[in-house]
Amino acid sequence: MVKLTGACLILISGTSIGWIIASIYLNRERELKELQLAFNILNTEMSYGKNLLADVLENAADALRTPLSSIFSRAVEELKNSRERGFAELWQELVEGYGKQSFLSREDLEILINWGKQIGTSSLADQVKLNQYTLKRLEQQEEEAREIARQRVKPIRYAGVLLSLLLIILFY
Amino acid sequence: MAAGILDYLPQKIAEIIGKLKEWQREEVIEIRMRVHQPLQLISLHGEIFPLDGKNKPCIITPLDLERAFMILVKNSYYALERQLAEGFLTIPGGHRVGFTGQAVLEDGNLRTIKNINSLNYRISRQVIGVAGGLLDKILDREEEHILNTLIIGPPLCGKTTLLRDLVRLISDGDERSGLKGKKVALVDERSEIAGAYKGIPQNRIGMRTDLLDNCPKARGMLLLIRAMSPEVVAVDEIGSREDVLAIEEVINAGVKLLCTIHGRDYDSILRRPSLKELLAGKAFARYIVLSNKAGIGTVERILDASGREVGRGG
Repeated sequence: MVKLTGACLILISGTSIGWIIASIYLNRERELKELQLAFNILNTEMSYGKNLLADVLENAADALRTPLSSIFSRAVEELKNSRERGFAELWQELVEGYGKQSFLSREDLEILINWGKQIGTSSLADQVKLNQYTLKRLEQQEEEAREIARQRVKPIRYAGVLLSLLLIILFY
Repeated sequence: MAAGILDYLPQKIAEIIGKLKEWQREEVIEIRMRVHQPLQLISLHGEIFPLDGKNKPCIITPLDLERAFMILVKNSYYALERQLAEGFLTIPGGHRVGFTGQAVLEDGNLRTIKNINSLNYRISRQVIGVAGGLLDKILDREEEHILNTLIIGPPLCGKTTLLRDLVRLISDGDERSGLKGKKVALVDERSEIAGAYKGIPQNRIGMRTDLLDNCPKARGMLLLIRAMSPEVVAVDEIGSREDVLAIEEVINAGVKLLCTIHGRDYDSILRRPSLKELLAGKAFARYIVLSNKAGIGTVERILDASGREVGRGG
C-alpha cells in the first residue's frame, strides 16, 4: 500500500513538473498575444482619439489582465508623479521589473523598451509607424514562441511522465 | 504665483523659484528659460535672475529645456501637433507657454518647431471684478444689451483678463449696471480664457456661458451661432481674414460681439488691412484701449464707433 502510494506521488509530481515547464512556453505565447492587444489599443487611441500618453496607457491597462496590466497602470502613475525622469527611462525600469516575473524572453522585452524610447517624441504619423512596427515584431515573436511551444511542449510533458515512471521502476 | 504652474517646470527650476519670497513669486508674470542663459523671471516691477544653491545664476541646460518641453507636452507630442505648429501651448489654468527652436516647414507652412532653445511661461491671472467699472461703458441702455466691443492692447496689458471678467459679468448679470444675464458663447482657441482642462472651465466664466474649447476662432464662432443661439459671442485675439468673415456673420445674425486684438492703440488697428473694411463699417460700437502705463490693465481710453473718446478708465 505504501509502495503504491509512493509510486502514485512520484508519477503525479513528475507529470506536474513536466506540465509546469511546458507552461513556460505556452505562457510566453499568451503574453505576446496580450501585448499585441495592448498595442492595438494604444495605436487606435493615439491615431483616432489623439489622447495623451497617460490616458492611452490607462485605457490599455483597463483592457488587460494582471500582471501585464500592471506595467501600463504603473507607467501612468509614474508619468503623473515624476518630473525628473523621462518616459523612456521609467518605462525601461518597469519593463525590466516586469521581465523578472514574466515568461517573456530578453528579445521580447527589448522590443518593449525600444518602443518606450521613441513614444511620445514625434509626430502622429511617426508614432503610428512605430506602433505598427512594434506590433509586427511582437507578431513575429509570437510565431516564434508558438513554433517553440509546438516543438517542446509535448516532449516535455511526456518526459515528465516517462521520467517519473523510470524513477518508479528504479525504486521498486 | 498662480497655482499649478510649478508642476509644469523641471524639479530643479521649480525648487529655485519656490525659494523666492512669496511676494516676489506673486509678482511674477513670465518665466523665461533660454539655452545656456540664466533663468529669468519677469515681474511686475522688473526682472529677477534667481540664484541656484551655489549662489550663482541658474544656467539653463539643453536637458532642462528638453525636460520642461516633455513635461509640457505630457510625453504626447503626437497629440499636440496642431498647437505646437502655433509656437505655443496652453496649460491648465490658461497659462500660455511660448517656445522657439528650429522651424520645420512643409509646403512653405510651419509644420512644427524642434530642438527647442527657449521657453516662455506667461502666467495668466483670473482677476474677479476687474471689469466691474467698465461694463457701464459698453452698455446699450435702450436695448438692455451690450454694444459690440473690441478690446485693444499690446501683449501683457491684461486683454484676456478683462475679456474673461466681462464674459463672467455679462453671463451672470450685473446688478450695479442693471444688466440681466445673457447667454454667452465663448470660443477659446487656446484655452486661455476659461483655462479649461479636458474641456471643463477652471476659471469663472459665468453661469450662462457655453464654452467651445480649443477650436479655431472663425469656425467656432459660426458653429456657436448655429448651435447654441447665443446673445453674445466672445473671442480672444482676432486678426485674420477668416476671423473678419466670421465676425460679419455674427453681427448679421444679430448677436453681440466681445473681442480682443493685439495693437498699440485705435489708429494702429485701423491700419491693419484685414480689419480696414470691418472697422470702416462700424462693426464695433466701443473700443477699450489698454496699456500697462500704470500697471497691467490700465484703461487708456474708451472710444465709440468713430473713434471719439467716450470715457477713460479709472
